[in-house]
Amino acid sequence: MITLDCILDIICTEAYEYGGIPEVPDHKHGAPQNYSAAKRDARGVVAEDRRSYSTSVPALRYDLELLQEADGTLRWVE
Amino acid sequence: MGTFTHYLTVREEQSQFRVTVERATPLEAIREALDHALDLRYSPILPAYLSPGAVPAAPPVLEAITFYFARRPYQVLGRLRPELTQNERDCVFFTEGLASILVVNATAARSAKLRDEVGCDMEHWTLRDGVLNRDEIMIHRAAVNSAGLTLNLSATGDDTIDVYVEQIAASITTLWSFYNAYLPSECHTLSQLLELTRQLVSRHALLRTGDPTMETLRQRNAIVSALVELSASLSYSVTQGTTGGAPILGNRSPFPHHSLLGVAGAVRALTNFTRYLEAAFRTRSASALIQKQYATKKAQMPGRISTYDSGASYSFAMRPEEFEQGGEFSATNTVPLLTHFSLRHGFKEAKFSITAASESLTAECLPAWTLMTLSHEIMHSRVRDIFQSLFGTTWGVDDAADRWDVFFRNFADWYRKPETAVPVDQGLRNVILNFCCATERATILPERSKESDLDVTRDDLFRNFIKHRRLAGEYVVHFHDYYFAYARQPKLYVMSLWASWTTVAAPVARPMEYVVRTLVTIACGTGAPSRDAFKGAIEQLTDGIDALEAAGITSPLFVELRRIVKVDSEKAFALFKPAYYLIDQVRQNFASPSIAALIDRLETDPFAEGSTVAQEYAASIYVYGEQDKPVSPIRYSLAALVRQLSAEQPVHDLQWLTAWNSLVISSQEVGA
Repeated sequence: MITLDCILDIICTEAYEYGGIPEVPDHKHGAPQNYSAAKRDARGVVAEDRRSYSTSVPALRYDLELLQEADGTLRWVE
Repeated sequence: MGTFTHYLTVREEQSQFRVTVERATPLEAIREALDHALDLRYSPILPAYLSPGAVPAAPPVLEAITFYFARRPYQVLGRLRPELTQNERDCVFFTEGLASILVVNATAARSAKLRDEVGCDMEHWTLRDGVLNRDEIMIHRAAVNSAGLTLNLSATGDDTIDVYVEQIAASITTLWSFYNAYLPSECHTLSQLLELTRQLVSRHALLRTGDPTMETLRQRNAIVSALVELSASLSYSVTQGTTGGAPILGNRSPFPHHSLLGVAGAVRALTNFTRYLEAAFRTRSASALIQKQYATKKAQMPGRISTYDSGASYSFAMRPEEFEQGGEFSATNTVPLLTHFSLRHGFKEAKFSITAASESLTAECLPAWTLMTLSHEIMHSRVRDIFQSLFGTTWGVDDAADRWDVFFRNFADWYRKPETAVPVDQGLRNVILNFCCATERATILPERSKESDLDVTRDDLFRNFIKHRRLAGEYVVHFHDYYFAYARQPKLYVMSLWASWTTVAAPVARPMEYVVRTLVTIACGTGAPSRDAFKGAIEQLTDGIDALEAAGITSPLFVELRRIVKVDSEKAFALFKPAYYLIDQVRQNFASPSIAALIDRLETDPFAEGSTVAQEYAASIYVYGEQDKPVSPIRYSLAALVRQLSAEQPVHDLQWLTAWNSLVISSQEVGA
């Protein structure tokens, strides 16, 4: 159901997002780091270390947090 | 293994082949072959015409076997039945192989007459005292009107790429010849994959022409990864899909427990199941709609997860649906997914393929291995398309870093002023990013952090997305599966998920995640405030688990699940809230009654009788296919699952039921 052009572009996106590491586990370039995380894809935590080239945009004060109240209940606040 | 299943075995002894039928288990034949170091091939064969309450008659002493390579065996059984005597019916079997029907002890003349009736290729073995000589094998093949395929690939001079070019070209060549003879509808899949390969190779060559950079190196690696994945999937298709053809003894299957006849019939069932859903989704392309409709239409999207409380506009009663607006958005030039079985990957989706667990060949009729799990994987492909449209870059522009600058600015502006209407595609992107950031912040704190610790940079946002997109994607997939495949039946969905998850490692390793995934999915479309939706979903979940246990399906996982919703419910609710927020927006923008109706096809399905309720689907193992009454593979599999979950199986033979379900689905003409 995905068009040919879209599949090609997905591969271009993956190059940026995952640096060319294969999606399917058990390949020599993409050995899973732990089984349960790796079943869906082989990239695991490696993907988290990717950095972009641009850092010129000012940060956002994203103030959503999960707090525990004195009575033990949990509450999202922002 | 069970009392209905027999095993056709062939032992090779000094250039002769001893052919026997074993009842209930092949283990004795295996033991004997091992003892004498004999080559043994075998496959399960299943009696085709059952009578309610009766155990099928044992096969007679073998004098002849006729194999019919019927593409639509379910309909063939319906057509043959009135032509056969009761004695003949007792000698008709079906299989999971390409030789989908076999008849025992029909003479060559009678076999030929039946072949005229059936209209397919045939192989006839005459046995003498149970022994087959190669020169007594008779094969009738219809002339195949094969179209050629132009190989638009050539050696590139790059040794690595050329290895894959050759592998892919060789696999496509094997499959092309085979599909022309046995599965012509799949030739289109091959020509699309060949074109995809050509474009990947051409793109790789282009990347080699400029000065090499780390970025182009990553892109070349991504292309090589794609070629490897494609080549591996095609290899699976060759080994599973093309074995078991005539001459049967010359086309051994690599599946040891289907080594005689192969599993190509079962693979055709997987393919049909997949093509059926693909055809429905092609009618309304999510990516086309996002790019043309959602990019130009503005809407206000909720931006505060902490105060999110759903509402009537998220209810399934809401009409008309947003996704149905704006004219035609059909997808053209799509690439169908290759389908096959995999013991290693189990049920899994990748860019070019869908795999079903190999256990489904023997025990599809157990909830853990039901074909319905395949629908979840196919939805991953739909969601892959959606995520590419929302977050992806393209070869034409290739500006991913700049795009993420824009994504961040859009997200930051919207988060500061969420009441502002934004284009729907941007709004959906913001919602997914908001979910990813919330998931990153789902650490329980005793007090508010310092303000400066709350900053999210552009790179933080990208990292949060990469880290949590899998979970976000799972929620989008759950919505699609629940809405399109399960027709929004919450108890059934709960039972299906948890019956299958008892055999999967991840839910045992991360039970909280899977409990929340379930609760959020069945809460979707209620429009109820978060806390009420959560409580209602817990009731549905525990009802579903109670029903599973009543049907004899138990697991320590269910004890843990009940503990979570009782003792750890505050934490579960904390995780529920951002996910409920996400799935509501997905439901509001991707529900499509027109696609759902194509999947159900209630008016034409002979067993549905107009109802979406799985319990009312009247499929029977004593009813055979009719020519112009297509069965929905989804509804059929769902109804089979309902019988499994309620412990109401029509016969107590896993292999028989599994092969029967496969036979029915493999016989449908889909995807037109």
